[in-house]
Amino acid sequence: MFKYAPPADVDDLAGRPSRAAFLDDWHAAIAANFADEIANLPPNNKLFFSEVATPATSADAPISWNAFPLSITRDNPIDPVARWDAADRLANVDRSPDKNYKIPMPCRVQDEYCEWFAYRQTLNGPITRIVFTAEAPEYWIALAGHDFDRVVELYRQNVSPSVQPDELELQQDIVFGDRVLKAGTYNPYNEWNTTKGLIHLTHPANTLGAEINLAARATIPRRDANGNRVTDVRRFACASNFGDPNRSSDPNIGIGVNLTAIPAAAGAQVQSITLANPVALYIDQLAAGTVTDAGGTPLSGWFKIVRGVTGRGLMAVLEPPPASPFGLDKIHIRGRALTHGGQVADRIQMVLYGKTANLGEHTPPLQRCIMHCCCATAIPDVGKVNLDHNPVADICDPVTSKDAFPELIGPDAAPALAAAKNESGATVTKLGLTRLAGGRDVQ
Amino acid sequence: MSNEQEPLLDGDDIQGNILPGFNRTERYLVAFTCAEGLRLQRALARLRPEITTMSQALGHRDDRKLAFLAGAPPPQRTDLWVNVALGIAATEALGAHGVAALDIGENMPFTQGMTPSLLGDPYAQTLPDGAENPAALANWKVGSPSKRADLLLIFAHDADVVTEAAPVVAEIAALLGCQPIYCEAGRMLDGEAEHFGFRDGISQPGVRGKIMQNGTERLVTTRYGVPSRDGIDFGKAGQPLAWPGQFLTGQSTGPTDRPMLSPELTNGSFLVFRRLLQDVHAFYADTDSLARKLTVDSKVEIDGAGLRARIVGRFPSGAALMRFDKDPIRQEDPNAVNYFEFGTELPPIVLDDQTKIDGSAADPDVLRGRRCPVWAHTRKVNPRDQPTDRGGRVETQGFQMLRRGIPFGPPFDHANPCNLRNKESRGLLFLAYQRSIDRQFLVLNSDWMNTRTGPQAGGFDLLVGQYVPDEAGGQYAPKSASFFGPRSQAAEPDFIEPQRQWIIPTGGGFFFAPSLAFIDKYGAPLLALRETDRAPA
Repeated sequence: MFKYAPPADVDDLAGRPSRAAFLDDWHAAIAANFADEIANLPPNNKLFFSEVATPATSADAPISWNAFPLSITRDNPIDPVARWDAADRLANVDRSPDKNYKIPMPCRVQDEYCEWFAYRQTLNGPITRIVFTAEAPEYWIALAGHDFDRVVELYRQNVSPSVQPDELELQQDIVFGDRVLKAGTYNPYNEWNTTKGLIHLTHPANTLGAEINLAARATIPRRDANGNRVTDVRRFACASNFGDPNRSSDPNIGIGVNLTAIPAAAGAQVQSITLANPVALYIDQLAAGTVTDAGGTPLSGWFKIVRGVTGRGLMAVLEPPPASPFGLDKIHIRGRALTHGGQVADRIQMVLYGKTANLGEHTPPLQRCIMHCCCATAIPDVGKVNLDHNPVADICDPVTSKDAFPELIGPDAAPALAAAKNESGATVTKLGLTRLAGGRDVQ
Repeated sequence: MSNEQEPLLDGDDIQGNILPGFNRTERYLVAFTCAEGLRLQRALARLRPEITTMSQALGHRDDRKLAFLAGAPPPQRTDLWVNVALGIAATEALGAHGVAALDIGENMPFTQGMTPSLLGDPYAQTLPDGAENPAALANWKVGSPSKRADLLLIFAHDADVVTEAAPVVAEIAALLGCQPIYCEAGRMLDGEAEHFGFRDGISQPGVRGKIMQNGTERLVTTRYGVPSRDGIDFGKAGQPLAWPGQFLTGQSTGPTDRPMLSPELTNGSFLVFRRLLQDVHAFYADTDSLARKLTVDSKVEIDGAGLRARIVGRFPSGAALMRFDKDPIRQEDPNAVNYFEFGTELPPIVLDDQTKIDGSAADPDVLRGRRCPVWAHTRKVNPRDQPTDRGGRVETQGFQMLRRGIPFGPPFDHANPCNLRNKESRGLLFLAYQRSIDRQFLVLNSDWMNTRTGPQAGGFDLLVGQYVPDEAGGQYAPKSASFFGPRSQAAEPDFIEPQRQWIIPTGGGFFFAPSLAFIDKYGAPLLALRETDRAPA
């Protein structure tokens, strides 16, 4: 029987009594997530499917993107150091279950499903190790729910031997997605995963749920105000209600899914599409030749996948191999001394895998754009700036902003707004992320 | 967007090989090692009256276009054209420290120079069999540590460029007090093809802007009435227009951009030179063999020519796989050859002169690339409408460069494989101008051609990509690609993995091609002395 496996088939509970129940629950959680997303799709468009119901028949179809946040690059187009600095700043995300007060939790602003942490000997001292992760928080929350002791062990192995169990526990209830994590259970924003180290993703959009949601909603083809199908990557992301059009990942995944399921080529076969099992976002590889000595000679063995495998990496570490006579303070990244984790992220490729099957579905009708993007009126080239992604009903401020792609909803959009608001799945996830210092605030 | 907003460029200040390019039959590259400011000043002063400007070269382009439209052969000229470019050691020696500050990006490649880490090239100095590795920087014919190229001269002529250039080369050598470390002639091959037999250089970005010519303003890039699409304007069909700041220092990158640079630093461009050796025999033998294997093992009906076209992304005539199923008998109209996307069908259009351009198909499986593989060279370096690991169409367009390459070495004699000339070196003198080496050439070269997953996952650029994994000890490793082929419904790919590297870098450098104002300033102290000046002993 088909069963969703943990990301990269990691077997963190091997030999432990908690293993069987955890694997069952993990499968059930992912399957339920798929079922919810499929149920939310329009009745005349069910191209997204789960292998629980039907096996996929194609080879894995990889979709790749760069690990460094494109939105931060757009905000810092000239100065690379400013860009790398911006990516290293922490933000807060409000996780209060009660609207009357806030519970700010620290998180990273690295929003391409890859986050990193540079360990240093001393505050502002030389970097000794950089860890990169693509692991979604859902996995660690689920793992801790079944075997908290094992989670503590894994933190001690991968983060610090000093980790104490109570340091990983929530002090109060918080909301996480559509559920409440109770005080005394695993805290995904604990200090060993935020300010003092890293083991899994923390940005509120960096979740497995977001990946499944994105893939499902991207199967809805969109038409602009003139009736033309939207096939441009950023326009499609602006027009749809998935992800963030300012990232490299979400628009790329979205249009990749859309054009694979419903090719633009005349007469091409419509394909049903799903995410390959095990469902996850992965670190694919670090580009060859990235890490060099001070003389520019590439070094091998410094960047290693330590959870998962090459092509399906969950955690990677940049650190000196055991026999190295020098540390990270002496290495270069493409000729430049290593000072930031972002230098390495610039050269990391991320990947997820889709799969398809011909399930006899027909070409679904084009749907009107359900969202659009605004930007400041003074911006001449919208392609080079970050955009505000809004429901169609929220028109751009007529004084200070303009529609980045006016052809998506057209000048007569207002009468259609009410109808658009009622369309299935029109809600937008508000992340509630606030940068702690500098950078662009994200709603 | 209205043409009125486009900037007025100084056609007498910009070197002609940057814009519109030296479209002459022959080229001759000569490099010197010299980091002495005074000698370099003398050389610049001597070269100043010889430099061919954009205005001059643009006139020749007009003549070529008229000849083409009349069905006549390209016009031949008798004058010698010259352009110049400087390495970091030369700009520093001249005291032009502002050039290094123009080297924007993460890795400052102009300042750093070519390295295996930046380029992804092999770095083992010997091959596994003990022979010298020609691809290793230390062994390069030009640009190695012992053959540093500080001053690069680019000559162009239609008949005998080496002879015509000889007096200038001799004078410059005398002024610099050294002989050239490198001299190599290039020549257009029949059909403007490169040595593998494919028409080259046909997809170039159009540059926005105007210049004054004979007292009137004219556009640098002709507009043919191609409808704008997704906010992008075009010159020819499929030729997006880019702002001049994508290629020239101190020029605008958008309608409201008003960069302020001193005159001597304005209108320069960063030049990438790669001497790329092409192994024609291996390319043909390996692709024929791979095609046979695909046919026998996987029942994919493809021959060597078909596989070669998929590796390139075009047929030998230059016709795009996205427009044709097989190479058309007649070469396509220049206005049609680039009219295609990968994921989007394009409608037929009619240009201002009533020329009809046929539409083009979309790939039925664009993520894998059944019609044109994701790893085809032309798709790797310009994925057009496709999303990429670094954004989308806007970013892709911003990475594009002005390519001015020309083949070197004799054509390969396929009819007579035993021809002794087939053993001679041949390849491409790759030359590309851009505003930022880091954010243009290095993205296309290192992030896309050299990787399996960029700009889209599916395979390496089998043609040009360099793959030297960290664990390979500085040697090439075989590159692979997922071949989905022309079968429309095949679920599983066939993997192809050529065992030999068909294109090997054997020289090169990062340069700054300065404006005429730069040459005036840094050659100026000696310009007045030019007639009586003698080379220092």
